[in-house]
Amino acid sequence: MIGASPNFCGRTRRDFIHSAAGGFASVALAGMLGRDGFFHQAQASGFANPLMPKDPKLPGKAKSVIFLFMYGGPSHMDTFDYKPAMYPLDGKTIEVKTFGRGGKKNQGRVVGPKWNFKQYGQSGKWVSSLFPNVATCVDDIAFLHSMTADSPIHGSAMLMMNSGSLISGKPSLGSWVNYGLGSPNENLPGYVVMLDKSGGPISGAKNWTSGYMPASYAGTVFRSQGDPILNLKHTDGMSAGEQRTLLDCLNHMNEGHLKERFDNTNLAARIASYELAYKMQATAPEAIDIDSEPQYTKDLYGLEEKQTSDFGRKCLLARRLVERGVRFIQVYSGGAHNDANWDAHGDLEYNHNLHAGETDLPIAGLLKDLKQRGMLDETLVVWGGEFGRQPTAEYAKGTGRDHNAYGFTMWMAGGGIKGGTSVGETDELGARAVRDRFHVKNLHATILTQLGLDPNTLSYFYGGLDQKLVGVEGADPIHQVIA
Amino acid sequence: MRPPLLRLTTLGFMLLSGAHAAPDFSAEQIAFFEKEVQPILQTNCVKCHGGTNERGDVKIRSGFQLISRRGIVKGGGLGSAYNEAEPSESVLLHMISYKDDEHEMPPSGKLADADIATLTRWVEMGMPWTPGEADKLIEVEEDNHQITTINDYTKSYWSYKPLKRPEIPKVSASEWQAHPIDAFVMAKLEEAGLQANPQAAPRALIRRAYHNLTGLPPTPEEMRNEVEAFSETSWQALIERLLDSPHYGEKWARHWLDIVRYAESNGFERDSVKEFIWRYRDYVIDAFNHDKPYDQFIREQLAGDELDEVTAESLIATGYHRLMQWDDEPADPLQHRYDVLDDNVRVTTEGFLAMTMGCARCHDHKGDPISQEDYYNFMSFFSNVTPMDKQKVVQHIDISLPKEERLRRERDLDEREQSLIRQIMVLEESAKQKLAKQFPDIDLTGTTTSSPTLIAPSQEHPQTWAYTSTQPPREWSTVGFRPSDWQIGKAPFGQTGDAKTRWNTPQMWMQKTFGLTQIPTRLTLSIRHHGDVEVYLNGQLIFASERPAKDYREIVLDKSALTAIQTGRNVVAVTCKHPKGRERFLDLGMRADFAGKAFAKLLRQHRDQAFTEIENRNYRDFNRQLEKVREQRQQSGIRAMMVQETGSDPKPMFVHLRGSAHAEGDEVEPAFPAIFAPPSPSISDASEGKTTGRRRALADWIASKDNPRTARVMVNRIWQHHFGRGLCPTPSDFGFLGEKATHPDLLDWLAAEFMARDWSIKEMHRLIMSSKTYQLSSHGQEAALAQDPQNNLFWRVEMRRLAAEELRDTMLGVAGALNPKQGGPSFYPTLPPEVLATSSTGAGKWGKSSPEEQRRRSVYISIKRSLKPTFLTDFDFADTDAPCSARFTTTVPTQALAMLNSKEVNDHAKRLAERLKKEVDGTVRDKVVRGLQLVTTREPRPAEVTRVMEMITILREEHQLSDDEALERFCLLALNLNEFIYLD
Repeated sequence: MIGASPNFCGRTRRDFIHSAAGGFASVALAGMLGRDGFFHQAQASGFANPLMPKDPKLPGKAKSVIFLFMYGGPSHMDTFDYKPAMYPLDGKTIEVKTFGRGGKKNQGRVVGPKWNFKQYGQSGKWVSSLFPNVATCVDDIAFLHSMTADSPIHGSAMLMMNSGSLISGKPSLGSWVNYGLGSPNENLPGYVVMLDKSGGPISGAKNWTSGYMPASYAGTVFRSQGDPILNLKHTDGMSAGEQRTLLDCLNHMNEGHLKERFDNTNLAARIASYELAYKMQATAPEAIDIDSEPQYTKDLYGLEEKQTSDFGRKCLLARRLVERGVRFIQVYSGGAHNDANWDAHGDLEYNHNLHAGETDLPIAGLLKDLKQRGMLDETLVVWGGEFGRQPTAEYAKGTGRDHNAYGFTMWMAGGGIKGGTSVGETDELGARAVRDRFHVKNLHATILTQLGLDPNTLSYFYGGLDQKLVGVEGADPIHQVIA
Repeated sequence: MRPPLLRLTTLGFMLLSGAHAAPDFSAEQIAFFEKEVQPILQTNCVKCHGGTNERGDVKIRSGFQLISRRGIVKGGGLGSAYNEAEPSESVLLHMISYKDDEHEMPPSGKLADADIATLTRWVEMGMPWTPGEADKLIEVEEDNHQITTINDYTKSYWSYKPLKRPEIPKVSASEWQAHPIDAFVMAKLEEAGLQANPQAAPRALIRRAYHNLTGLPPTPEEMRNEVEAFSETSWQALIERLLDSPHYGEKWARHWLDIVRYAESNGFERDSVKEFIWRYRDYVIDAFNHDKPYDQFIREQLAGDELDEVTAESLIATGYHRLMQWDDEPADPLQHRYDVLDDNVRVTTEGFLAMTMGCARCHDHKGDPISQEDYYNFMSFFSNVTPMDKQKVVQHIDISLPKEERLRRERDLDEREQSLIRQIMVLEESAKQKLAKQFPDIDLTGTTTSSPTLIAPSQEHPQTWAYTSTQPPREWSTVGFRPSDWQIGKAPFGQTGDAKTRWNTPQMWMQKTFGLTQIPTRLTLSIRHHGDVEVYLNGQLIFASERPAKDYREIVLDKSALTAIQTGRNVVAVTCKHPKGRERFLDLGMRADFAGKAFAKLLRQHRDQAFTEIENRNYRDFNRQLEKVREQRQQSGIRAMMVQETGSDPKPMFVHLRGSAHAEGDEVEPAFPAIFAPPSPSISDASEGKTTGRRRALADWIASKDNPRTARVMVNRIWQHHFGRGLCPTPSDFGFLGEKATHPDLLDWLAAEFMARDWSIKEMHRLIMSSKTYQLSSHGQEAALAQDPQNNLFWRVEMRRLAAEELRDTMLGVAGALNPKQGGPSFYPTLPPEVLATSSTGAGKWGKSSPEEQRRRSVYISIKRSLKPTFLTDFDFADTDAPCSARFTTTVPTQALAMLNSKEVNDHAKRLAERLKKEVDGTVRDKVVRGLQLVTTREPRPAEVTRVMEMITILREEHQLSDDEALERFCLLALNLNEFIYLD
């Protein structure tokens, strides 16, 4: 089939063949066989779908990823990184090195944690009162307390968390996952992004771009209300019947055109893509139709509460999308700028009460729902922002904290992650990671590893280089949290 | 296709020992090492520096091996880790001390103090090691040595060796002998025993030529005439006509814009606009249209400011250096300065030379004979360019006018603009009051900010500023900069009586912040300054003036200022020079308006209630005049974004060890890549101290006929855009990691011809399009498909899908709605709210263009890095952050959804339906026939028309569509035909 196609997506097949060194081409070919329905037909016509499902190279526990992106940077010392020594220091000016939006500083006024911590679960994990519901799931969670990133500035830090680089133009994590594994449901996108109601994050679509890979690997923005996908419905409301009539005629004419160009697989693929689009129009709305969900499930996600209904709906949709085979789902808490996301520069209490209040119950609901359905083992849930926050105040007055990439907390659950564990440490103020420091690249490596992809060999040839998500130097997964 | 010797993933290694003389150590010292030191190294270091992982692969990060004394002495990317003369100064100890943010080892966390003390003691002892193991080293044998060094093999590789015009081969098919291209192609086909396809039908050829040269289809009438007259002469005449069309440049410029990753904003948090950068886009279009010799095209872009004859055009061309993404608030400013230069090194080497030199930033290239030194030598051609944060990247370019004349002109336009704005505002204010009374429920202030005064001018309320009189660091105007050591003083500043803070230095810089909760619709500056002044908002220049204002002036800032503003913290930074012979004075304020949208909407709907008849006429008139004045400002060539250097005396440039700007290695000088055995750059400064002349030297070398790559690379690109792929299939990589050319002799012959024809690109089009090879049909052929399915031998011409822009332009074209307006500022297509919602500022930074503007060709669409029209990205628009040498052609269902359901495509369908109704007076069937003619440029077959009529009947009868609606559906169908979207 590959041989019949003159090129792969318009560039030379080099990109494709090159990755054969990593074993992908053969896997991809194997994956292309034996699919029913569309692909069977498409295969006969030589349609080389870039999202054809592929078996992972290594045994992986997770089949899907839900990345709960706390955009703006949640404060670790006010959520999951318990720092009892900070409380008595509240208001005192001390020597501490920080680097944030306000540049590098050597001293500052400590803002003591504004919430109290309690121990939860068999693991006895300390969690603040911002997350009383997530706290009940700590035995399923592995906390990474010693995360570090290369930038404490939103623009570049977002790109780093999503694509492994401070500079844009690189494919995002979800693109790598789809490139490595394909997506089993041809009626839904393989990589879905749900944005906050207040808007997109800084850099917009750069956060889910496929960079130098074909656009087929880019994330698709998925809306939780109305039409989930852009252009899913006709702009003036063409009925399905009408559309069928039109498509029948279109197919007829396109088949006629194809007859004299029998060998052109792209033309056949294009005919097939209309049928696939036709099916998507029915499938995608079904995926967001949550009326069929039982009441207790809706309650689990907090759908009836005003505060939690929006994020709860997105978490529930994330589960439904996982059930339907979507490979990578990113859900944003927070959008736009300032207090519309976790970027608590002014009033820390107002900001974090707001965002934690909106997300705590839904996140716990998601973990519990996945678990009781037996899906948690195969679904990797990742929580965190692009960085954390500083122990000291940003301004002379108030509780606002500036950005902190020297040390922050993220957590993972499910997908073969060892629950009830905590790795790494920040210093007693949470100012910087001091023990078992991990970089964003280690997080990426862990996610890929859990999916059965080798972060150090999954590569794509571009610009004279075997490009990798974790960079040319490579990165190790965080073994301590892998079950 | 890659050479078998190249295997990057495998490290061949062997253990070596002996031979190296290490000092003698006492038994206690060795015991100390084995007991105390070795365990620390083993636990914390060896895993990445000489150890093996679970799979047994050796890992030697940074080339540094911590498995023996010799390994430490040898060192890694930062040089030797041991300082024999001053052991306590050893790099090894520096790394573990964690005193330097950039260099901390081990990365997982600082060692315990006791361990550091042990290692320090040991290093100071001279690093005793177990005898017999002290010299152990893993020999890393990279078996691609042959292609990464300069040797006979690399020097004679097809793309590294000098260009020689090859002999034209003899072929047996005599009709393939006449045209050299045909002879080269047929020679290979005959060798393979394959037949070429016959010539394509005239209709297919004519459509191919139109799209290929202009990106637009022929009208059915043009097609009819061309087909009737079709002959060799008419074909040549057609090519000439198309090459003369201004649409030719619009099509071919886009290919170049892909390579230079053209975009009109900077990216990152603010994604601010690159002001006037569209002039560069127009420059490229004009260059193609006027067939600017390619060597000149190179020189102008790289060094338009350093040429013997500097023109406004050549200055605009240097916008080339400003196209990259740029972070105005980088985490590491020094490193980012070189990221920007690196971006330009990559584009220049890939774009002009098909060399992936970027790979040698951190270490020698792993697949080509390019050393790290080559890379930094190359970078030093650019290192004296003013960085983006210097901000004087927008310059006056109308250099033909004397300065006074230029200033006078600018002042006239300024004054006219501001006076019109004032008159419009007066009218709007009174209208607002009237409307507010009538529609009390609508909030016409449109703001949640209590005070729209962002910074009060001193007459109202003197403000406190941070200020300094000594030159601040480069990034002084950006958001990330904190003026912690500046003084604090109240405005106004100066020497006059009303000044509150004394200013008596040659120049001063001041800075102030303000907060915002929403993006305003207008910003007004109120300023009084006696000397030259520049005002920056979040690092972007929003106002500059070289003429003193003795009184306060109100200036309504143009839209670019709004793209710099953000919610939250904003930084206003101002610098003013001492006015010669005058007293110093500086004061300014800034005001915001938010009323925009709600008011504009109400005004549109209730014009008659808002204005009297005379007011309404005046309002229209003022707005029209304003538009004209603004157009004049844009068109008169006053300002452009361009390159500039910091002077003629560049700072030294160094190798960056492991690519880090914080780790300087040896000093470098401008030099061309050594593999080409090039001449030394002849750098001369003829600019009276303004610039180094380095880029000129580089441009001259690249544009030289002796450069083995330049002509080859460009003819390959030209071939690529005629045939769908280059003679070398990797157009930006002619190195060992790229693919080999399928027809290296033809490529060389064309390159020789290109230079012989004075680097004329249009000549190359003529040459290629007159060949039989270009005119072959695209049909399949059993024997050839079996033997050469990828068409490597060009036995046919591949079918081609229209590119994103072509598709949009062609839809506009067949609907009769294309606005052929050329050049000027880009337009903003209306984006669906769902797409605007993906931006962190919503519609806040996306502009609005009139319906006429929105019907212009796609090459004029505004390209914002963080927000791209989905129609373009759906159809594989080039990424804007890295050079795109060949676009993907994906086929995915989202394209079908866009083509069937989007407002955009349905609008095209409606316009096509309108056209059919207007132009065809007959039956529905007649309209269908005309519609099919327009999209396929051929006569439809009766069966096709019948099938469409069947569909229309079903739509009308079963789905109760009106005649008009059914016709619109047909038009939508027509735009979705494979025949419309694919060319034979």
